[in-house]
Amino acid sequence: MTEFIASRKLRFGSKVLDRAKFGNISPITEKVIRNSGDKSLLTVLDADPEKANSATRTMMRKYLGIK
Amino acid sequence: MPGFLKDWLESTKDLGRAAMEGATPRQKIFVFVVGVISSIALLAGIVFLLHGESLFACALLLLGIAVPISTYMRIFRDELGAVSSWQCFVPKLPIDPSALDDMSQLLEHIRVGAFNFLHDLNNDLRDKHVRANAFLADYRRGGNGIAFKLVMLDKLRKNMNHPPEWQLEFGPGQGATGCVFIEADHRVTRRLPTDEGEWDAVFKMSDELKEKVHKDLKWIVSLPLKDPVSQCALAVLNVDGLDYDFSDEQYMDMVTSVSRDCGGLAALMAKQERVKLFVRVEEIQK
Repeated sequence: MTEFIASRKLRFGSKVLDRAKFGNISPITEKVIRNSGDKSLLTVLDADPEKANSATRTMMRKYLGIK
Repeated sequence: MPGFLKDWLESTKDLGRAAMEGATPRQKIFVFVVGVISSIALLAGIVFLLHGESLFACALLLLGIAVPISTYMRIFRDELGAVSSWQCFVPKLPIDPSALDDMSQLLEHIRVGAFNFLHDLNNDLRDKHVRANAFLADYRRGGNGIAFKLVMLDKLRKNMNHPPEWQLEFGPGQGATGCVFIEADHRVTRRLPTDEGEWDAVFKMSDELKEKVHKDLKWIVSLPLKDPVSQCALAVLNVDGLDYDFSDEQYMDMVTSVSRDCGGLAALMAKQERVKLFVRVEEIQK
């Protein structure tokens, strides 16, 4: 059996991210983001969903390596 | 350009690149400032030399040469003379208790969020079927040629109700967790579709490890929690499931639905005090 079948890298293409449903932000996540010291993360909490989603994609890239 | 000079320049470049990978922004600024100062000192030295001020010229030229060399030796001393080296920065253990509590809460949010997402796809799925854990590098358990073991802290396992799994320890590159830690890239892992339910040989799972893993475990989605600067993994987050399986695309959507909490967990990891893990290989001079 090849590695490809048993385990593969998830491919987060633009399609996945474009239709992303990020869900609500939990109080603990909000607290962590506010205390993180990373100012760019604060936009994740922005009331404007477009700005918040864009910042979330940046967060995914920076902290989880999801492009 | 002579071959030896070309080789030397290439190896210097590689050395610099390798050392800079783990450098903090402050170190990078420091190296830049030192470069500017030494360039100015060298230029001023040449100007003084042309004007016959040999004492000033010598002092400035020496300064221009000595400052970058001493900086280079200080920052890159670990790599100097090494055949190869590897380094990463991981959270210092034990983790601050208050931060650990926050991590624990975040992990549960991630697990519940993942469960809710998957439950909408399959109503047979029960809460017990979706679990979450985070593995950290325990450098205190290194030895026998292994720099560290990846372990689950008590508070960083959710719904992991199979006690033998609490003792799981993965070496670098071992298991899905060890692979994701080294590659710092996410992946989805399933058991091989055979009667024995084996794991792919690429994971180097020992019989002891296979024995500890829950027999009904079907899939694992593993994410590196990365340092935003060096892009190395600080820890590995796993969301896994028993009995039921889903498609890759559904897993991707599941991860996306909880990505803010996952990013929050990574940001919290990145904020912790850290230690540098360093592996160095060097030739022994006779």
